[in-house]
Amino acid sequence: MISPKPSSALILVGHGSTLNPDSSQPTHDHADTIRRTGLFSEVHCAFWKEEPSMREVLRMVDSPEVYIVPNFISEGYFTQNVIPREFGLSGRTTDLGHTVAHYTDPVGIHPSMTRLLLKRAAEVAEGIPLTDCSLIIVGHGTGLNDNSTKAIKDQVEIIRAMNCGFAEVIDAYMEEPPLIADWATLTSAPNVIVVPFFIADGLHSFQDIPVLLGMESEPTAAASQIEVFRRNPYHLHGRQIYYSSAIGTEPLLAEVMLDQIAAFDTDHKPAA
Amino acid sequence: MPSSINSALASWLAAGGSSIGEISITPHGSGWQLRHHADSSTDPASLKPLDSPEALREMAKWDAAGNYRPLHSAPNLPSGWIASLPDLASLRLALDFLYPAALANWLRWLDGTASACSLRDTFNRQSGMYRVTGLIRDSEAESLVTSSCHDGNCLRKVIWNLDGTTPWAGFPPDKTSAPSSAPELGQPIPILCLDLCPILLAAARETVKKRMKSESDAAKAAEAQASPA
Repeated sequence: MISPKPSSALILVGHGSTLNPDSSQPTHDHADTIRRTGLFSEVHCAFWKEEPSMREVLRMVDSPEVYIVPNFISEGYFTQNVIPREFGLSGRTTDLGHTVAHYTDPVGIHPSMTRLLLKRAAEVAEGIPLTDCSLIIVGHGTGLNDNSTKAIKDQVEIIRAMNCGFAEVIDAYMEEPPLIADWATLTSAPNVIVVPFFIADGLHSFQDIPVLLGMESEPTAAASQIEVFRRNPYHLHGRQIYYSSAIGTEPLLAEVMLDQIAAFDTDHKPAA
Repeated sequence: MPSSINSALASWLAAGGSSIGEISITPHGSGWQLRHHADSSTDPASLKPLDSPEALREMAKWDAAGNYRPLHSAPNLPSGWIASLPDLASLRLALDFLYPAALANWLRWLDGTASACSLRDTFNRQSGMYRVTGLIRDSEAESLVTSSCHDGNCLRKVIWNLDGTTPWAGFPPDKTSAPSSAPELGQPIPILCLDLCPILLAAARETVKKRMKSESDAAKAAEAQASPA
């Protein structure tokens, strides 16, 4: 836990959506959690596709210092291009005139994410021996940016090295090999736990991936708009699939955000 | 140093400030009560009680028909509720949720620390899938903005213009000017648009892509016609 920062504001930056009401909800939820701790003088959210925009949110800041934390799952186009451009950032720390901005790494690449993944996996397949479980961490994947899969590959390596008992731990993607659609041949255990490495239960984790897994024949409504939540396990190919909601909806992600701020202070902030 | 937003809000309330967008704010004990303008004469006992900024945020996420409201300044906030908030901090948070950045945009505009970013400047800094918006023609922009941002779709005042100098011909003067009254006068808080929104950005992309496709189709047709059979 970090020490209180009574002169610092916090801005959580999410992608948001003009179409999907669930996209920004986890970012708001984590901001609510951190706001209640009273650690910061102010806590705001900003979004690429929703209000307030990154340009607007800076005007909401009254504090002389602000931490900007990208609620993104990996380094990539948004964290490296869009967010710095929209906020007018020139590096890790930028004097913006009325406030000094500190730009942290995206939440998804913090080592604490391992703890969240294991918690999610244990919850979704509660009571099933890990030795009978394959764990798949699934992401989007794109040939355009190697960084989009790096965070997931790193987590797979870490969890394998921990030897926590899974029959196997693998990464899989929607749009590049190994494809999540091939889950039945990629895994061997009778139970398959699938944890989407996404920030929100958006179109990908709640609509596209269930179709690729074979759990649904066509995309369903958004998570908040269906009455009955998914019921695990799903019986497919003689195996049981346990499908978790997106890792970004885990309430403990708020702690990872604070961990990311602590890491910034340790690695980048000059001593006062 | 810009003035504190919370203290400016307190001054506005002390002067009898009571209106922003579709919301009325009234003193209630040591706190504040919010309701939709449409419910100003409705018996409070018949309204759904809300007791936190977060509950207001969730309410404002949907219109009366249950459709998602990605644009908070759209004039379709549901009525039928009454919110009681205990203090200034929770009122500030509620206003930030209901009309994101409206309070800050207004105060920073008044004290001269915020300025509007023209459509051209916004489109020309885009990258990736939105880079193409830089190719929008002036006439396309005029048509898109006046058909998208009018009061029937959005209550914000459009403070940005085409290129820093060219105003929008299709709006009444009131739609494109920011009232200059200070918080201490308690006038309704204007919802200023200083940077065009992602909805308009996406619509501009569609406009340009559609025209480019049409031009490409026409060129292909002309080429086919000119080629010997």
